[in-house]
Amino acid sequence: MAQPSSQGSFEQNGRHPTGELRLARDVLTFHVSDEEYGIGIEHIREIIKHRVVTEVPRVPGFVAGIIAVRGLVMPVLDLRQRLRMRSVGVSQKSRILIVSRPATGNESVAEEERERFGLIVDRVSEVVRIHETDIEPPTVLSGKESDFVEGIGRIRSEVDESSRREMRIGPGMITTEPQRIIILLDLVKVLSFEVIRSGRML
Amino acid sequence: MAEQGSDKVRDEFLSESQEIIEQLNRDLLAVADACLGRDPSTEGIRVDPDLINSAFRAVHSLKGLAGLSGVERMMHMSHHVENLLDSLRLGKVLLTPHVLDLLFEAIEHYQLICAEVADHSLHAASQPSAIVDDFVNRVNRAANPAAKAPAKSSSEPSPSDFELDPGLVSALTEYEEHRLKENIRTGKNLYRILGSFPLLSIDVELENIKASLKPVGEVIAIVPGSSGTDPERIELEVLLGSQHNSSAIVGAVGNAPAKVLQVTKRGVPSSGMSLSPEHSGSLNTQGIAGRSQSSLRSGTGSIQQPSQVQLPQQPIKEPPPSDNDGESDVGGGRQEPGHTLKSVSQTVRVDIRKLDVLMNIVGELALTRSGMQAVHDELRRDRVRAELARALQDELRALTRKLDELQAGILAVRMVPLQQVFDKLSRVVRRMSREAIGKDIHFVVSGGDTKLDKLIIEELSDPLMHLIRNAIDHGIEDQQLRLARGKPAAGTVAINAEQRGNHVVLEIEDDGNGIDTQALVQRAVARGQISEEQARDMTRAEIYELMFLPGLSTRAVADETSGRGVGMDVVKTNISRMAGIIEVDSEPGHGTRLTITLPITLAIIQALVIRAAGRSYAIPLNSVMESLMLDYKQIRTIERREVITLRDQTLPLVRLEDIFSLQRPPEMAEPTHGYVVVVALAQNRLGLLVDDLVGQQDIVIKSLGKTLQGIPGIAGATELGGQQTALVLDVRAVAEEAMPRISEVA
Repeated sequence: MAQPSSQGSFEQNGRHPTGELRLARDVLTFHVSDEEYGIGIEHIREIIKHRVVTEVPRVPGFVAGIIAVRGLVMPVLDLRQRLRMRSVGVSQKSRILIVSRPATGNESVAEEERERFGLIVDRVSEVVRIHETDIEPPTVLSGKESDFVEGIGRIRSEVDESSRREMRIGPGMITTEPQRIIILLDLVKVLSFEVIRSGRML
Repeated sequence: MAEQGSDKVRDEFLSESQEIIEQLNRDLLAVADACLGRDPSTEGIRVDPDLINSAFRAVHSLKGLAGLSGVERMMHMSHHVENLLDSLRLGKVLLTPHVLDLLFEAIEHYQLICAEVADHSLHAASQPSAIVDDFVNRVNRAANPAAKAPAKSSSEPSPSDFELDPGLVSALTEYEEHRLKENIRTGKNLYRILGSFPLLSIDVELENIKASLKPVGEVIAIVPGSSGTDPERIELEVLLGSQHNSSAIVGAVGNAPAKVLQVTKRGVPSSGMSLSPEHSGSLNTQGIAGRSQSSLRSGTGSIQQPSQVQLPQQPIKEPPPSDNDGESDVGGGRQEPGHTLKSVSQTVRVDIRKLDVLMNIVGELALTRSGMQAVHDELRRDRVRAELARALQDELRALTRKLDELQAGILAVRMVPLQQVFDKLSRVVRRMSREAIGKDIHFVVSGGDTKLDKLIIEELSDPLMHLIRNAIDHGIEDQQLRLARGKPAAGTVAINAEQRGNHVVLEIEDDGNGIDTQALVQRAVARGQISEEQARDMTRAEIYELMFLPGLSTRAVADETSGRGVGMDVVKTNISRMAGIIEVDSEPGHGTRLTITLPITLAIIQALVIRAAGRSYAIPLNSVMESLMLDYKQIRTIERREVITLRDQTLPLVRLEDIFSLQRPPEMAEPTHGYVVVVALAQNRLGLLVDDLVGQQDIVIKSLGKTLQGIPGIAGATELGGQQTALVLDVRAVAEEAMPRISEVA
């Protein structure tokens, strides 16, 4: 995993254990198609290289199938399809993010017992810290994609003057380059879907 | 979470009480067995007090456990049942069928209480309940039959007339004292058998000596003897009542390291003689000398002195026995040293989920092993390292062997004998045959030592119970009819278990009416579950299959009042959930036989790995009948459904890619031949058309997780090694889907 910034989580935990006063969050960013998405690192269990996914019948198209990781069988979602983008094949850079279903409401399932899912992404970038003040609500968007968007995070440029100088294009022109946009995924919604079930439950 | 702690206490309570209740059930069945063939109406029955004692201990343990866990109701009830058992073993109450019924009823109350605790909490059963109170009242009435105990005749001989150490007499339990008096009253000779036993093998030694003494007399009590000097050994004294003379007793003791002393009546000089021929130093003569001295002294010195007076002084006056008294009082189980020692039992109760975790680890180790095998294969190609590769291969082989043993070991822990279930069934049959008017049931059980996975055993008891009830309610005719048919008056219901390879086959057989196929078909037609047209050309096997339709069990046809409203459909569902198969065979007028085939364990199953449309699937081997190669030219169609003819029978075919709508990879040509895997679904056969058979292997079935669980046709997933996962087919679901006639109605 790319520099999981232990300092960052200290700040997070230290300052606001209740989550109420959360000022910043650490987010793992990754690419799906040419957009950059992010999921809070607290949901990420592991990142593995792409491996053969066993197809499962009678499931929605975005369920690529199942894999077994450390003896645990879990569904794998093709995030492109889940986000209603066109699916492309996997590449060298494809990864599977192993996430655990976030606790909802006041349920108290132990971390180890939460259901795991694999998410196929095109490329994993890094862990960044995004300040709450830099997160916009998804209402700025319209359209279906916003179903899964929790917010839109912006990362202020931390580039130094020298690179800023290089970017200067000309007098009077404003560049938006130093601002990175990260789409924060609502993991609960991404992971909630139904499959056809038989009456008999095992 | 405070709840979790109390849950744990509750689980402990439940598993422990369940174990004791089962033991109690076995004890009571043994008591009932001992009563068989005797006429209870005249004098009641005397049974081996050991049996009653064992039952008493079970109830006593339940009382203790209930007290500890705050299950007031169970404690209260146990207390009174204990009284009844106590009266029984003291001979105050005779064992009549009524008393036996009460005792069996106790088990049901125990189980109701357990069920309530399981459903709610320990507190749920802390309140009194009217049902239990009523039961307790009846128990009390039985335990105190109108206080007609005859006043003790003073002229009868009593223990004080014998040369017995009053310290010894006072150490006897009420029961032992009662038996001692009985033996004296009936003019038996009394013997003391003194021995010293190694602590480690005390259980065995004690059992041996008890067994060898049983034929010659009654073991009244076993008490610790004088304190030994050897901490590794324990001195014991057996008090025996017998009509035989001392040489017979010596003969019975045989080579055991023990010494026989006859207890003489007062006035007659004590003839403490060492009769055991070979005690070869294993006797602690000093201790015994002390002991016999003490009994002599109390015999001569305090003839008229009541024992109560002497007892408190004893510790001061006679050091050797006092040491001993002190010790066993602390131990708290003086009358049964063997029992207290046994309680240091070597069994451990384990949550079965922990075994699952271990099993998972074994599975992963196996995967690691195949990874190592791949490394080895790589290594072998390198000529320079060929030597190393060979060495690695040897190690890998050893590892494989050990892994197999480990897996077998864990599986063995999960195995429990079927006897547990059979015991429960015997009780039900016993009650039913008493309740059912005009029916006498002979219940025959065999193969109770056959072992099955604990989880399967748990799931099995309800279906079996239902089948047995069915056999009694609807199978066995009433006596008049049976006699008229030339059958024995008592109907036989037999259950037999037998292991066959990786399966256990259970047969439930009765010699009753057989299945009325006519009534079954009519009922199915009346309920619209099959058309009249269909009804006309049904095979016998197909008709039996109707039995398993919801709401169509014969139970519903007859006017049956007992039971819990589960039908044969539920029985079948339960059994197939355990990957089992149930088959019916019946001969009108002669009886019915149900055959249930179950896998021994669910944790690991044998599977056939197949390929279809470029994907691998595992098919549980227990549902596979056979597989055969097939040239697709042999496929015919009937109403557009594919079939082949196999041994003069039509076998419907199903393609997995159709059922699961699988896309064949474009580079894969449409095959011209493949394999048919013939699977069985009850009496139906179905051929799964697959591209290739990969092979047979042991697999661990894993759940697909909450979200994907329950997809029709998929039972789970398994790892095949090399990061490859395969789906495990639920053959029953696939077949039901493929055979519309069954799936429509089921």
